[in-house]
Amino acid sequence: MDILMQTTVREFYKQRAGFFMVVILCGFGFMTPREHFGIAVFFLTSSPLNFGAFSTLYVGLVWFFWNHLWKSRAYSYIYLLRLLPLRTRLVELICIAVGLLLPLILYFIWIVFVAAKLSLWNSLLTRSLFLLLWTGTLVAAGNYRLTHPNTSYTKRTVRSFLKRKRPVSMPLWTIEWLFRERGLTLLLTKLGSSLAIAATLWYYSTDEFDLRLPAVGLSFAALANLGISYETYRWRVEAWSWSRTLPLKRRQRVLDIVFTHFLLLIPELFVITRYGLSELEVIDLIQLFFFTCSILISYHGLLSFFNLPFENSLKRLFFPYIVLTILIMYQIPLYFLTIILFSIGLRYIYAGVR
Amino acid sequence: MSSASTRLLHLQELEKRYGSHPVLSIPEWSISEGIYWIHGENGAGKTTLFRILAGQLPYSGKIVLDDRYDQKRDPIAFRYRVSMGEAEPVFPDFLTPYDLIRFTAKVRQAPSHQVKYLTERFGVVNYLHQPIGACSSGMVKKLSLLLTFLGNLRLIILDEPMITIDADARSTLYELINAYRKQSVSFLISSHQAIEKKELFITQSFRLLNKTLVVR
Repeated sequence: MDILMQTTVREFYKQRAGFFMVVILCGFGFMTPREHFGIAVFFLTSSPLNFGAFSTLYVGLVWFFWNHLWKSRAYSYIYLLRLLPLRTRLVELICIAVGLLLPLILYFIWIVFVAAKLSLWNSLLTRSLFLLLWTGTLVAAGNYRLTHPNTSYTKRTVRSFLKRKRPVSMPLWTIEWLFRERGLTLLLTKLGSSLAIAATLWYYSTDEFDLRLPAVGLSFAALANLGISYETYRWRVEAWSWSRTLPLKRRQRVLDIVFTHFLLLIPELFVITRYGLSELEVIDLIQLFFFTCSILISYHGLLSFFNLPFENSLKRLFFPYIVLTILIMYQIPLYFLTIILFSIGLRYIYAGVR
Repeated sequence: MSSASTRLLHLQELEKRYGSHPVLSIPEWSISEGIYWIHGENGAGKTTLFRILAGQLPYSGKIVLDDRYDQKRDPIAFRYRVSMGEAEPVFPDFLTPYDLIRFTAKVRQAPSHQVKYLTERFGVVNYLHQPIGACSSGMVKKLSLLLTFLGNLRLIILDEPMITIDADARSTLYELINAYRKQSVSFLISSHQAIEKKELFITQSFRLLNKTLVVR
């Protein structure tokens, strides 16, 4: 049991850390309690299918991961579970399913609180059925996987139009890897940071503000991208560690990292231009974009130099981020902060890549 | 061990720890050109040593190639001349052998005739455009060996090169080692499988014992 929880459930949260970080940032960073309450009320008062659709998305994510994991060659031992009596095996599978559905269950508990406050008990019954349905579905699917072993996992076939000559470029390979392996995290990151930028620039247009307001807003957008920056770091040191043996110049490695981050921030550049062009000078927009880049580059420098796990890197970032916000509020010019952050980041990256 | 004037590789006060756990502590070790077999029990530190030599892991001490290229001071020049094939190679799943070969050939400045020759010798030409994720472990291993032999090298490090490859690939590997040796390329090999004398002439064998290298 312990092994299953560690190798499947814990692995899920470990590998999807970036995704959950983005969800938490979106949920608790940008949304007000009133909005959270409103969404819960929506799920309680609208058609039950809305909650069903919402939960289906999460269950889809879970099953995609679970199925993918158990098909990998490293997990061939898992098929020994077939030797267990059916009842014991089902108990094990229920534990895994509940472990994987935990975020959904926790969100449902929040809905129960809201239902209790508004006395919407009747609505709860149909919604709770979805939880039972999804747990049962996952258990059945897991059992099917166990009774139909298939560890000859192969990647999706490459369509003929994709069989192109792939450019020999580390930054482009990094982006391709993110799209293929961390697609959802990438999507949610871009959604979260774009919302932050759009909301900030919309608010900016409602009154007379100076550049400090969008600067703080865009620093949030940069924070939303930390998970993705961390994933690129993992790609470099784990998925592609052999590349360290290659005679790539250190300067080239640093440039590749910086270029990758520029590529990653292209969606933000579009949003800044889309919502800011009518309100801000072009020079201010450029400043804001490079300021966002510099936060990300300095964070990546921290990762490269100290080789930190994600949680520890966030702890280290907390205090400097407060200081940065204070400096913005004290009207330290944005270009000056950008230069400082870039310098720190590049120095650390240069020292960190060998 | 060779005299200081002809040494190919020189290690001095090499130390490696994982946290507080010491893994390697080699006061001094030199080799001249040749083929060297590094023995050691599982967990003795062979792979760690190889990964350090290939520039994958940080360490304290000094590693110098040809009495000239210090791994810390000239990391690029060092890496141009030293290549490593891992025991269990890992490459990004979505890339194809074709992508990796072109990338490695580009950074190692390998001539196109060498790329063509090695691709054919290892039979990688048969699955050149297949994603790595869809390749068997033997196919990935052969690709890894091919990549290791690319470039204008002085030292090739092969960590368990014989595992997962078939008999044909094994004889290709021996032929290539002998051919490269004639061009003054040296080898550090670790293998738990026996190496026949008629297949490879081993210059000297060492054993990793008590965190250091001793003559076997």
